[in-house]
Order: sequence, then structure tokens, then C-alpha cells
Amino acid sequence: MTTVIRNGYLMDPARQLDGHGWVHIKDTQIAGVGLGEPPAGLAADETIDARGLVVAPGFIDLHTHLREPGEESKETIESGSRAAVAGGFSTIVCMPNTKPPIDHASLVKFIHLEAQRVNLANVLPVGTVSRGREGKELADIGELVNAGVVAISDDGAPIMDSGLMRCALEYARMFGIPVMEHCEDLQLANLGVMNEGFYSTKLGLRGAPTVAEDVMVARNLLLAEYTGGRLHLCHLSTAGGVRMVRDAKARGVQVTCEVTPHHLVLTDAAVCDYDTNFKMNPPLRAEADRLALIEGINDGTIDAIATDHAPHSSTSKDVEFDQAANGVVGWVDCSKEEAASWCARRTSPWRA
Amino acid sequence: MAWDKKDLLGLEYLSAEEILTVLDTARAFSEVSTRAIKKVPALRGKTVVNLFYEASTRTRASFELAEKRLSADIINMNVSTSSVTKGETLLDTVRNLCAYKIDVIVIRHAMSGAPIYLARNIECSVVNAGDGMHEHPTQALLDIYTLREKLGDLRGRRIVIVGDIAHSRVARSNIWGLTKLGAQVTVVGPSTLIPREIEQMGVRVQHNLDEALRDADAVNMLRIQREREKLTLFPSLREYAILFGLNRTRMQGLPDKLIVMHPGPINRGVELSGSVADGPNSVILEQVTNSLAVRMAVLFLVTGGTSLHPEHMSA
Ligand SMILES: [Zn+2]
Ligand SMILES: [Zn+2]
Repeated sequence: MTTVIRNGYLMDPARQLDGHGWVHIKDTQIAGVGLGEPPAGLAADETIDARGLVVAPGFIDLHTHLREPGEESKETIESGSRAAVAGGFSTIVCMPNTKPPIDHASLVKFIHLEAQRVNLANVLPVGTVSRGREGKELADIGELVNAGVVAISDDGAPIMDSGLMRCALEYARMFGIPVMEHCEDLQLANLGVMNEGFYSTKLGLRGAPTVAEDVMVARNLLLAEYTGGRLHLCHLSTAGGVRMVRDAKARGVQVTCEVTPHHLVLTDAAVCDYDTNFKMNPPLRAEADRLALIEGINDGTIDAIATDHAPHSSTSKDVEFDQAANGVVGWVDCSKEEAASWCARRTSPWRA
Repeated sequence: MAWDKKDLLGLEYLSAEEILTVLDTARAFSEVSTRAIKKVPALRGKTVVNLFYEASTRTRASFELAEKRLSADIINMNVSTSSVTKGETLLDTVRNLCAYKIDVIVIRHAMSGAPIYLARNIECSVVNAGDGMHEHPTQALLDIYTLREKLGDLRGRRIVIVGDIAHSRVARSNIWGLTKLGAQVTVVGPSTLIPREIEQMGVRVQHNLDEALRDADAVNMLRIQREREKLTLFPSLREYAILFGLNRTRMQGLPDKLIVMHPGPINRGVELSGSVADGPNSVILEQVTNSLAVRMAVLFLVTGGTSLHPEHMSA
């Protein structure tokens, strides 16, 4: 069985493909790819005309919440994989803040088995930094790595204990895996439910200032520099964070970072009538922050766009703003074309 | 008259014309409370629910009396917040009430935006009686009504609001209403209690009370509470009274005609000394009296009253 896809717009930054072209598929393998018309004499059992469509390799989402085990009413490994594939993502990295948290090798095995059974997307589990995700002592990170975690993270909450964060970076260095950190100083965030600024003032909602994130970005960069550990900053949302990561990279600190689609296209103005769909953590920020994130993508400071796909049931969103859960769905409204255009803009300069 | 809204959610959402419509309607109703029989049939056959998720004596009493003087049927529900967290959701509670075919819900809630959320989801009228740190529109309307009684047109008048601006719904509603009517508003308070970027709401910020009051026409002294936050945002009530309290000594250097307002309840000796609260500049009790006419006007307008006919006002 051979197939040719032609007339589509090819986008593959890894192979530096960006233009109209063709893809040749033999059985389940890509046999050839190229720009322009397919070579004369390329025979195929089936031809797909992709005129007006984008053709791209499966995307990788390196920050998702699949909720299983524990909160299967919100999402499962199966429903999450299905949504991911429908949105064009063939590999997804899932965060360990499930119930129970993924702090033990047996739970990693469970995710692998379930993902194999579902057999849709590649599911790469992240293990917790701390036992029980309690932020007190290290989880059995070596065993987690042996079981197949690709990183460790207590995402959903920051690691407030700087001593523990230092240990995590130092210990994880042995295994060559990054510590993925959710940067938020909880005291400075002061239970804020949206970005602190004009809109929180106007709406009378408790504000979480950008500096609550920046203080932790700064701490984590300093600890990564000191320990030589690999740091990955999740869902960067502030202009200050982008600036500090840029400086740290210039100094050779081993840091990578990601930004979410919603922080690239929305600002805290979206909250203006208490719409709980725009309640998330980190919160949507001001326009200056949004523009700084776009600049960070253009100059390579920001390494990836990741959805932080965090589904909630409607009962936890259809309530008063203060009581609503944080988080947005990353994939349902993310069509292949939209996703492809995100990636396209990663290689060609963004416009604000 | 310009009024086509089923709800009163905040003064941010009203035009100057609509605010003036409420105030004019209130003026017409103010006469009712001077009659021997203090009752008119304007809301006869209408049902109003006073749904209070936060303790409040004065606002509730004022609404209840306003409703009674309009001949509405009323239900009072006081829901303690502790039972809310375990029990049914706000929307479920209110949908159940709506099943009785009620006409108006007057809601007081600790969470900002709760009345807006409700109004989006139900048919009957919603009147915001104070939501979290967001708005307290009827309080601001009665403050503005009182000011206009004293000063007439507010264009160019200098009004100062003093206190915990960050946590105050009274401040936000007053800022929207006063600026829409053309007044110049200055907010004064400890820098930790002035929220960020409030200048964008069209006000000036000052931290020196004497300077702010030097050329003021009126001052609205907000009630101060120290136990709002886990964090202490100012050192002590004593220091607050020294820097931001209004007392006889401070009054001596201020314009004779300065109007002193307070939304109540007063912390005597903190934001206001007894001598100022009860002194010649104070209009605090007039505010309370005016609250009835203003709330009557609001209830009348949101239930579809367009213009006042004699039968609305007959005894
Ligand atoms: Zn996070
Ligand atoms: Zn996350």
C-alpha cells in the first residue's frame, strides 16, 4: 500500500521544510518528502489532494494534564489521547499531579500500560519531584527514571522549599532529566485569582502579581546555575521571566522554557465579565507581557509552545469566579491548521 | 426617562443619564417617607427576595423597608457562608427561588462578580447589594443623591474618598458614579490599600489627607478593617487614625462647608472622631434617610417601571 499526499503546504521545522510539496507513504512509514511536485514516475495506490491544507509531522505537547488516575470524570488517558490526536499531537507529556500523584514506579507502569492499550498517542509520563507531591522530601527519582519518566515536576504547585529545589536539580542531574517547575511564590501570589493590575482593581478580584512568578523564576535560574542541573520553566507568562531566561541562556545556564497558546493570544482584559473560562494559573497577564512572550519566541528565548491542557468538568467552572477551578482545555479547539500555524510562526518571525 | 435594564449590577455599567434617572426617580419617592401612611402600591403583586450571603444589618434593613413601602411581598434569606461551601451552589439556590416566580433578587455576596454571574443565568431582576470588593451600587447612588442635595450639579466638584480603597466596593461604585457625573475624585489611603493602576479609573491618588482635603467639597470616610488579610497591610488602627482619621483638630484647617459622609457602620475614634461624626459637617444620617428613596427607585425601575404615574404613588 502506497500513498502520495500532494499539493499540501509542508511544514517541518526539523527538516527545514516550509512550502508546497509532497509526502510519500509506504505502508506505515514515510518513504519520502519534498517540496514542489512529486518526482515523475512516483507510483502510488492512493493519492490525497491536500490543496489548501497544511501537512506537518505530529506535534509534541510537553505539558498536559490527563487526570488519570483519580479524576477520571475530567479526563482519562484514553480521552486525552483521543483529543490530542484529533488536535494533531502525536506525542504528549503528562504531568504527575494526579490522585494519587505519580511518585512511584508502579504508577509510571500503569500509565505506560494504559497508553499502550489505548494505542493512539505516545504518552510520556513525568514523575513528581517530592514524595506524595508534598514538597517535603525527594521522591524515589532514580526508580521513576528506571520506570521511564522523562522529567520530574510538582506542577500544579511550586516547590516553595528552596533547599528541596536545590536537591532536586542536583539529584536529577545524575539522570540527565530536567526539573519542570511551576514558578509561583505562594505568599506573593496571596491567593490571587487573576493578574494583579487594572482589571483586578476594577473587578475587585484578588490579584496575583507578576512578581510572584518572577521571584521564583529568578530563584530557579540561580539554583540551576549553581548546581548545573537542568531546569525547565513551565508556562512562562511575564516579561520579567522572558528577560531573565534570555540573560541566563546567554550565561550558559541549562534552562529551557515553554509558553502556552492562551498566554500568547489573550490578556487579563478577557476576564472583564468574570468569565471563568479565562481563569487559569498562571493568570492571563497584561499586553506588555504578551508582547514580551512573542518576542521571546522570535529570538529563541522560549523553546516551546505547550498547551498546559487542563480539563475540568463544567461543574467546577460554572460557579462564582473565586470558586472556579484554574485551567483551560488545550486541544479541543486546536485544529490542525491552527496548531500548524503556531509552529510555522516559530520558524518565521511572529507578528505582534 | 432613560431606563431599560432588568438588573442593577454596578455603576460601571450605567450611563450618566441612567444614573440621573435613578436619582430623579428617588427624588419623587422621597416624599413617601414623610407621609403619615408611608406606603405606595408601586410594587404591589411583585415578589422580592433578599438573599444575603454576608451579614449586614443596615443594608438589609434599608432594602426591606424600601420594599415594604413599595408594597412588595418579600422573603428574607440569610445564608451563612459556611453552609454554602458544603451545600448547594449559588445558582442552584437561586434557580429554586426563581421557580416560585419571583420578580427581584437583592443579593449580597462575599465574592466579586456573583451578581453578574447570576444575572447572566436567570430571568428575574438582580439588584447588587454589595459583591465582594467589586461594587455596592445602591450605596454609591445614595451617596451621590445626598451630595447632589447639598451641592447641586457635581460637575467640577472635588470629592475625596478616604480609606481601604483596595478592598472597598463602596469606593469603586462611587468612583464610577462620580466620575460619570463629572466630579473630580481623589482617593486617599495607606499606599498598601490603594490598588494598582486605579488611576486608570479616572481618579487621583494622594497619601496626605490634609492636602487632599484643602480644596475639597466633600469627603467620604470609609470604614477601616484591619483584619482583612493574613498580611497586615498597615501597622495599627492607632497609626491609621493619626494619618487618615478625621477629627476635630484636623477639621479646623479645612473648608467650613466640607461635607462629611460615611457609609456606616462607623468605627468611632478610628476613621471618624465622635465630634466630627455628630458635628455640623456630617450628613451621615441624611445618607441613611436617602437610602430608602434610592432603593425604592432602583426596585421600581428594575421591575419595569418606566415613569411614575399617580397610581404608583397613591396612598
Ligand atoms: Zn503549572
Ligand atoms: Zn500544568
